[in-house]
Amino acid sequence: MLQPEAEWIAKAQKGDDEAFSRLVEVFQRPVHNLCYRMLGNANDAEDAAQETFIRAYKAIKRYDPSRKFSTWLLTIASNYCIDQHRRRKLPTFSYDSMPVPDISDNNPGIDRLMVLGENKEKVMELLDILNPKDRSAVILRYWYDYSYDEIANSLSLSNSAVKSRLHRARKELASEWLEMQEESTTFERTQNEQTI
Amino acid sequence: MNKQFNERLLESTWQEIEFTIKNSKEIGPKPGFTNRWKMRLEDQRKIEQRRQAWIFVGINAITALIILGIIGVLNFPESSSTSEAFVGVVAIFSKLIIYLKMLGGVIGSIIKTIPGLLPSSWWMNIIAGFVLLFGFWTSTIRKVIVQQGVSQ
Repeated sequence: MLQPEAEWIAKAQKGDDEAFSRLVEVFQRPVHNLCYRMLGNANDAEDAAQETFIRAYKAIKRYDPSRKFSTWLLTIASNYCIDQHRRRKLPTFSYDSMPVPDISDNNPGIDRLMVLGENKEKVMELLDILNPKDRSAVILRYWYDYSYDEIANSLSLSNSAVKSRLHRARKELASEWLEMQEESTTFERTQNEQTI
Repeated sequence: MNKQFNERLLESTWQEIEFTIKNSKEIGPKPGFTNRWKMRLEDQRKIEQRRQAWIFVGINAITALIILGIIGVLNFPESSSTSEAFVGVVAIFSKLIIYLKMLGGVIGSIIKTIPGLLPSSWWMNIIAGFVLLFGFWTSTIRKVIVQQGVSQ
C-alpha cells in the first residue's frame, strides 16, 4: 500500500473525516467502475458507490490494515451490488454513458477499433445473463485481476466454488457471444439479400 | 470429436471476450463525487441523530406510561369512576414527586453532616473511586453506541 494511503487510513480509523475524504477521492474510480459493471447504469452505479463509501466509513475501525484496502473496499461494493440485484429486478443495460472509441477517418486501425467498441457493448450486455454472484466473480477476476483466494474471501465462497463458478460463467458467456454473433450475421445477410 | 470442437470454439470465443474486457476503460463517476459523498454522510448523520432522539423520547414516554399505569392499577380498586381514578393517579404522582424531593433533602443533609465523621483521606479515595466508576460507565455506553452505529 502507498505511504500516504496508509497514513490516511490510520487517521480515518481515529475519526479524521478529512483523511477518509482523501481515500474517497483516490478510490472513487475503481469502486464506481465495479458498481457500473455490476448494475449496468450510471445512476445506480453512483448511488451504489456512495453507499459503499458510507458503509466503509462506518466500518473503518474494523478494517484490518494487513488486508489490501482496495480489496476490502471492493468487497463492500460487490456485496452491496449483489444485494441490490436480489432486492429488485434491475433493468437491462443503457449505453448512454458507455465510452465510445475515438475514431477518425485517418485512423489506421479503424476496423479493429469499431469491432472493439461493439464488443465492449456486447460484453456489458452479456454480463446481464449471469447471476449476481457469478457476475461479481467475473468482474473481480477479469477487470480487477483478483486471485481465486481474494474472490473467495470477498464473496464468502470456497476456492473451488469460485473456480467452478468462473468456469461455468466463461462457458455461458462464450455460448451467448456466439449466438449473438450468429444472429447479427443472419441479420446482415438478410439485409444484403433485400438490397440486391 | 464434436464435443472437443465445441470446447475449443468456446475457449477461443472466451479469449476474444477476455481481450475486450482487458481493453475496456475504467468508468469513473461524474466530477464532484467526494462532495456529494460528504453531503450524503451529513444527511445520514442527521437522520441517525433524529432517530436516537426519538428513541430517547420513546423510552422516557414508555417509562412514564408504565409508572402511571402501575399507580393507576394500584389506585383503581379504591375509585368508583374513571375520572376519580384519574384524579387519584395525579394525586399519587404528586405525592411521589414530594417524596422524591424529601428524599433528596435527606440525602443532601447526610452529605453535609457525614464529612466530619470520616477522615479526609477516606473521602478522597471514595471520590476517586466514583470518578473511575463514572469514567468506566461512560466509556462502556460510548462503545455500545458506536457499535450500534457501525452495525446499522
